[in-house]
Amino acid sequence: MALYGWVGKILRVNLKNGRMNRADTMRYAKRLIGGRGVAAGIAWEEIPPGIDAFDPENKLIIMTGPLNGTLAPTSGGRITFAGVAPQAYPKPHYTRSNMGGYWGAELKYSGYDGLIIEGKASSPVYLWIKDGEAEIRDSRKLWGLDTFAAQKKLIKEHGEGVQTVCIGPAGENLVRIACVQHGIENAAGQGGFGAVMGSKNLKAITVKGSCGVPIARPEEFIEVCKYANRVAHTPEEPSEDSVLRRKACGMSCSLLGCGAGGLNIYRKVKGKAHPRLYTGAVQCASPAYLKFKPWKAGFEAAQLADMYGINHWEIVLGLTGTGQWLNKCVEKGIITEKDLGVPIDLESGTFWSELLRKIAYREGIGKVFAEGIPRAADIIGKGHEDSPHVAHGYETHWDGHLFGRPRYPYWIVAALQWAMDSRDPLVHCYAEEITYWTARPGSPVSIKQLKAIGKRLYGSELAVDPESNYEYKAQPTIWHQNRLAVDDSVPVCEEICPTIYSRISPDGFGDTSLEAKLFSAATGIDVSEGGLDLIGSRIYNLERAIMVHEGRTRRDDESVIPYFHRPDRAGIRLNVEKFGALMDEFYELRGWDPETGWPRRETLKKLDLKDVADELERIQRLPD
Amino acid sequence: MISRIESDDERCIWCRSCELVCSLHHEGECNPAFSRIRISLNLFKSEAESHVCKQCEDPECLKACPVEAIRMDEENGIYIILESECTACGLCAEACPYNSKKKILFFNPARKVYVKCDLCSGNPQCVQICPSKALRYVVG
Repeated sequence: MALYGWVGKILRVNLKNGRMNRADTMRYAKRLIGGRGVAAGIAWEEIPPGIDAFDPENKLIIMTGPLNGTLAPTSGGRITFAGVAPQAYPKPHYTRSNMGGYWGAELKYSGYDGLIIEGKASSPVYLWIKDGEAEIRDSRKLWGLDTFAAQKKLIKEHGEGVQTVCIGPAGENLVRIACVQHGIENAAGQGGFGAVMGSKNLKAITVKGSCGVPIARPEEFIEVCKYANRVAHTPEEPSEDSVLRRKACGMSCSLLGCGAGGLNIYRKVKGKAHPRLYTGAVQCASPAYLKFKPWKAGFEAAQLADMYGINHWEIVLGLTGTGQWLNKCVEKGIITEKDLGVPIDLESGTFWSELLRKIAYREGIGKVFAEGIPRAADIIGKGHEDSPHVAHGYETHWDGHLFGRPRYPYWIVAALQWAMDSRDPLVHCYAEEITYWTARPGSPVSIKQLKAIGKRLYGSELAVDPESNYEYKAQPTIWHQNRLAVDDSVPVCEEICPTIYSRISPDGFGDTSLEAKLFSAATGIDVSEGGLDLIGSRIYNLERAIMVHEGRTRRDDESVIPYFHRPDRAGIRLNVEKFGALMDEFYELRGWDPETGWPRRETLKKLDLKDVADELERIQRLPD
Repeated sequence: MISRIESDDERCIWCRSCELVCSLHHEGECNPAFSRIRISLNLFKSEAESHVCKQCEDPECLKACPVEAIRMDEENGIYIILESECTACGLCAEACPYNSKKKILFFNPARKVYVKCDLCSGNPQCVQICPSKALRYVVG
């Protein structure tokens, strides 16, 4: 049968012995679609539970989905990296990280839906894939180079149009907050997968191809894509000339006015720490660097973070900026100028350039910060009370506390999502798109429209009522968990999907069946919105099974409570008792045992995961 | 004047949707390597450059074609390659002064003919999909 959307093969590469083989994508994709879903399927079967992130037995799973490489708005390059993550806390566990750009599309054009990287090479290598042919090549001449220099060198070697993901010195030096970098401002940031590549002696993966992605119903698909561009929600109307400076963050990102802002381009900015010109971009979290003084030195620091391959989020929402951890530690005398080894000037761009260098090369205090904030606090033995660490190894992210967004009661849903995930949950849709923008001037939907949306989507107005409390908060949590699993798998950028509201519809509703429309026309497999959400639930439960296999219990879920018990900006704390009851409600609605937090057999069976239930029973982690 | 696509590369937002819709419309698959419009993106210089047939007034490709496969489509006012006549000799691609990177006029291995922009018979899909009005359809 002809295959549309997927290209059909996943390449497995063993770096220890150089062996490669090809797996059939559809063996996984029929149940789990692609991206995050298929990555979880592979991890469940192949990654030994409890393994360390830097163990050669750990695998780096890189997966696209059926919409990658296609015209579907924002889907083009969006790709999942997964495996046991060194950033995860208190010990490394399985999670995923998502990246935009062009590489994911080019991987499919090279003939593969995904890669499974196993083992550790005996000396530095990179992987070169072109039109189905793959080669493990010596990368000793690339080792030590920053991510921009390495990518330029690989373009020179393999020609214009190749796309690369690579690591910088941070990944090479096993910095737990090292990202996988691509282009100028795309990265798989969270998780520390750059360090996983470093632990495998894998500097880069360069791809190029001329294999197309066949589409089942081309003309219908083109129409759905044009419609998606029109209906998709944007928090603000883009100005005509924003396009001169703001660029798309990847292939097929044809929406203007994205909530994350797109790439803000700066050309030939003169550095202060180094005498050179920087051309690059900031977006999402990294514009925070521009607040350092002077802004040009801040821009330089942002570029250096990209070039060293350090996760921006850890710096500008953790160490400084919103998180302010270092600032508070300095204020309280926990960390001194002597510890830092540089004159303290937390507002200076050159200070941060120097600190980033120390982190990348694990020098002095950099060695401590290279462990990520929760481990750094443990090493120092102080400063926990000011830590922006929420849970699982990840810092503040749309949780309503340090960030101040969204406001109570909406952050209850964020707290519940944080509790259940293996990383910072991507709560943007509920916490940002729906409940944050609506309370601001120029809101795309009114509170009245919002309530109607809540009733229709989650079953009750209470789910979004600003006057509500803990009632009806598990339902939107589950709805978004399932849908995000779908959106990370088909994939489509979660800044636009689910399209819950729209500026162009008279009643404010968007079109939450957009993913189903795109998927059906692309693959020729007709699926409803509900059908996709069921698969989303399967993916979410499979990920939970991986966590349970690793030892996760309700107690780990509860690790979010101390953070949310801190007062938010309005002075409101999490009500621990009511939150406990909400967790009970959540587990029951999910079909998980409230005492252990483990999925029940009948829940897994209904989701076509009987084999998963059997395995959990074998290791005695299936509730009675 | 002949109809053509004009581009303002400063306005290009780098999404490359034009490449994807072009290949999808003409070939039924998303494949930039087969697209008749291409965006060369140099991220490290933050520059984009588009490549598409300029619909020259006195086209070198037409003069080079030994079998007269390149003709004026009077209905739409543009020069097109008649695939049924093309012998895939490649002289047109050599003759085009803008085609040094083989991005405007090139061999399509699936159809075994040379192809270039045909303005989608007067309804160019790339112009429709372009979100930032970097591409413009100029009717002659």
